[in-house]
Amino acid sequence: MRIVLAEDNDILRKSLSFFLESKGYKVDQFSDGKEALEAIENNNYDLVLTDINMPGISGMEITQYIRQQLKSDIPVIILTSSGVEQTELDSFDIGANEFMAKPVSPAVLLVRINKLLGIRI
Amino acid sequence: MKHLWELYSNGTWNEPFLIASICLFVAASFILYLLLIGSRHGHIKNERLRSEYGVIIDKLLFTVVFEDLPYSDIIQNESYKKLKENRFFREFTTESIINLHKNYNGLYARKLEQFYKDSGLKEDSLKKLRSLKWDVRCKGITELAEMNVHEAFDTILTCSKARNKTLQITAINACIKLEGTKGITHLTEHPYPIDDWTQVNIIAAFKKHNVGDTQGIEELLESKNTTVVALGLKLIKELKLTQKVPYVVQLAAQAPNTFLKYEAQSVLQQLTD
Repeated sequence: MRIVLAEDNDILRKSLSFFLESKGYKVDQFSDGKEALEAIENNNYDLVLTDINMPGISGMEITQYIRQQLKSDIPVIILTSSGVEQTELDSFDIGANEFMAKPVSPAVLLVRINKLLGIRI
Repeated sequence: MKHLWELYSNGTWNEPFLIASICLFVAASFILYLLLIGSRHGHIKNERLRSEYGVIIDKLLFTVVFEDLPYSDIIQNESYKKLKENRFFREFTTESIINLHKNYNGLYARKLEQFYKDSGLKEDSLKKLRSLKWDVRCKGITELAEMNVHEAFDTILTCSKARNKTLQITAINACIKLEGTKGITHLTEHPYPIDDWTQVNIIAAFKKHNVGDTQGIEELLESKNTTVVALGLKLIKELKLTQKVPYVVQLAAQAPNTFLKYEAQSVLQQLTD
């Protein structure tokens, strides 16, 4: 299973990538939204895990592009440090499957990823 | 001195003055150039060390967070053993732990807190509280509050009485994060006015840290400092503490000035509507 991880916080991105790889996923990590989107366009991924605020383009724009331009139904999980209710509503509105506010628990994230991918542990 | 006066009085001072000025200018430029080179060299060295240590720290923290290894096993790591007393390495490790702690919760955050204590990084942060530089003290306070070091509460509380505005706000925020309402009840005895900016920061800290137990906020309404009373009213209004209505009613009846009376009535109106 291939996952795109777009997150500009270096240590968080690397640690989540380490965690997911230890659980058997193949993770392609990006610190720039534009690079992540290019990778999504050119490869077949099973899930997108993206932060909202990133250099290049935002996680919201990535989600919107996936749904509207690529017409893809690939599961998208949005991570953000914003605790604002409207951000969560907007995320679901543009087609995100899950929304997680930071701080996150990697174990909970894994459960949500497995659920979206239909994997049973 | 006499020689200088002779040069001045006989009118031949221009030439030596110009030579001395040029020499001074050249020397100052050279010293500044050396300082610039030194500073640049320091930055380059730090950047190199950051990327070198970054790899070791990432590996170390991933082991701490995702592998259930006790600290006694972690210190067997050769790279860590070699660098654990290095000041720059410790500082960078603290920075990385704080960064990760802000993004992880639950068991993962607890593991980071435990490592922060076991590795002695907590003591480094406590040392910062004794610094004479306010920015270093702010850094120490932020680190201790982020890592939930409750034993530092009393020292941080002392910092919250500082005259430096940034230090004061940082300390009050930290006190609120660590002990909730207990972190601001000492303000009832605060001798100076609390400005609007500090009040906004205190209210934001209460909202951010989701302080559930609001026991003691009503004590602010009994302060002789009118700005503290105003802060108490704002907290009651912003956090919608309807259980504090009797105290606000009492204040509205016995307010020391018309401003507080009006504020109390306005809060009452909002809470009872």
